[in-house]
Amino acid sequence: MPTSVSAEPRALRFFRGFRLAGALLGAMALVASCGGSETAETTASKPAKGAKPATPAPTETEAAPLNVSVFLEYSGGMKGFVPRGGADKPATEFQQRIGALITETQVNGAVNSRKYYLCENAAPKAVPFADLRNLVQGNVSQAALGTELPQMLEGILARPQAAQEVSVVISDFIYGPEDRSAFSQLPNLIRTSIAPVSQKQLAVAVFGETSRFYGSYFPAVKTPVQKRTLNGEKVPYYVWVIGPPALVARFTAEVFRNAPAQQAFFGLKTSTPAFAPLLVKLTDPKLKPSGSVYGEDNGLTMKVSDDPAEFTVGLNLKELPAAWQQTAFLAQHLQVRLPNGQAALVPGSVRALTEEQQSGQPVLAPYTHALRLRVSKLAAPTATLSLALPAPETPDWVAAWSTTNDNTPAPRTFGLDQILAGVRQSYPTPLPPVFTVQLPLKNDK
Amino acid sequence: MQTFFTSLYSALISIFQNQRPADYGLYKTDIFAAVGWSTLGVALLLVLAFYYVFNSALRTGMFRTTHWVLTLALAAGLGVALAHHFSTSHGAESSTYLGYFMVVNMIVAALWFLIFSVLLKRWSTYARTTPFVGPF
Repeated sequence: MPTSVSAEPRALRFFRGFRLAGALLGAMALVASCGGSETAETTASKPAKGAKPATPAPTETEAAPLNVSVFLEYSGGMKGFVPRGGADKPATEFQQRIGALITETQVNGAVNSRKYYLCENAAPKAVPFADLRNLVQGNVSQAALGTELPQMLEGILARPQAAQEVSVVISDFIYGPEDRSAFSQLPNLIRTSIAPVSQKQLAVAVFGETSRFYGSYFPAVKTPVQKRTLNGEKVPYYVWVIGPPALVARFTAEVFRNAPAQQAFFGLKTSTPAFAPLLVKLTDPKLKPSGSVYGEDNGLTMKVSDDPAEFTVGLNLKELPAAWQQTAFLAQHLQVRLPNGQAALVPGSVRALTEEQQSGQPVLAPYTHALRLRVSKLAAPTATLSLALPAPETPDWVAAWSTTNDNTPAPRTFGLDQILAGVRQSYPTPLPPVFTVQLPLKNDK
Repeated sequence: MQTFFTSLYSALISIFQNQRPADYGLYKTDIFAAVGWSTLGVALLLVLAFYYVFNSALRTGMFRTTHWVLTLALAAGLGVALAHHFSTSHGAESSTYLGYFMVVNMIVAALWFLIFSVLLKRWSTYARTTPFVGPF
């Protein structure tokens, strides 16, 4: 048959050429219509696929109600922090800070219920908010003798609801026992008095600040003088926040937002923060992944035999104390572990997300921080990468604020290091991590 | 079949680029299968059209190798278009990987066209020896 073609007249062949073009166009139209119907199908099924992200969705755990009890040690030794004010007299640091704290506790929507107590002697005495505020602003009628520090803590923590709620203890934490021999047992006395802390795994947050002081100051060391009259010299006071770890974290982050710079945390744990690897829909080139890595089945699949894989993860750390949300702190303390492999935090990659970044890249919206992880070795077919924030040990300011003789007033507290050593001993060594998040990895063969 | 398409495309693309993109999961679960099936279907349709519509039902005289090559080129071109279309409609980001995928699907489309041609040409009335005689 092909041979017969050449015998046909030219005109006919020319005509046939047209028919070929027509046939091809017809085929195209056929395919196009076919493709069109498939497109419609794809768009129809899209919402279902869009609802299932390749990366694990951030999990929000249901938070326990935040019940707060505020305890103000109200003894002669505290009176100097709350001088009677006036238009000509600026409020002391104590009055400003504690006034703001109790007000925030009273009005903040995060607080479910709040109660106020004065610790005058053995048992705390419940008072209405207005009375406490009156007292802080300096309308002091009388001050009791005061109770010893261990007894006060014991009384506060002995309440049956103490293990379920946040107890805020405001005091100068000066321990001047009747029995002078008790000094030698200071850490143990504190540890005993806060026994529920280790028995019920509570957390303790300590905030320290110096405040101007007007009036009688009673040092722990009674020689050479029993008491001194101060006129605006600065001495320290402390706020202890004791309660279940997640509640202490919430109270610190959401209520005590304006906290002093000196902070120490023991046994603090947040609920598992929202966490996910972020690979796609990023516009910032510094956030985009590099190497061979993709999201699959709530984890990541990667091939790191040639080049390491580097990718961004998002973390919601809003529950951490403000100081711990600092990128420098996180970069220094965050710990990456990958058994059967090698992973690390990319230096200088921890960043606090700005609102601008979040609105430009909506995939970042559920997170407060982004950081980059680099996996350079993965030996097993599957592995679990964990990112943890180990609890920092007692910070350095504690030693600087401690003294063995407080008879001359200074911004130091008698035996503060020993008091906090008693708190520290209520927890295991090393301290449990503040949070741990995990990411399953798969080796891409 | 999804596994087949995934391994076929992954293997072919890895000739050009060994690294997988961040949205590879999307390729693996959705795109490879959609593109694989539609490319296969388009190649089959073109083969059926060439051998049975234009060279059996109709006597158009388009049985020459040139005609066949032009149809193959059409299949290859549609392969590129399908790869691009399904990738973007599934939300894949434009990347070098997507580029290589389009190149690979062009080759795959041509390959399907060749295979279907060889399998089906012998029942064609006028084009049973296009593009070559045999093997059946």
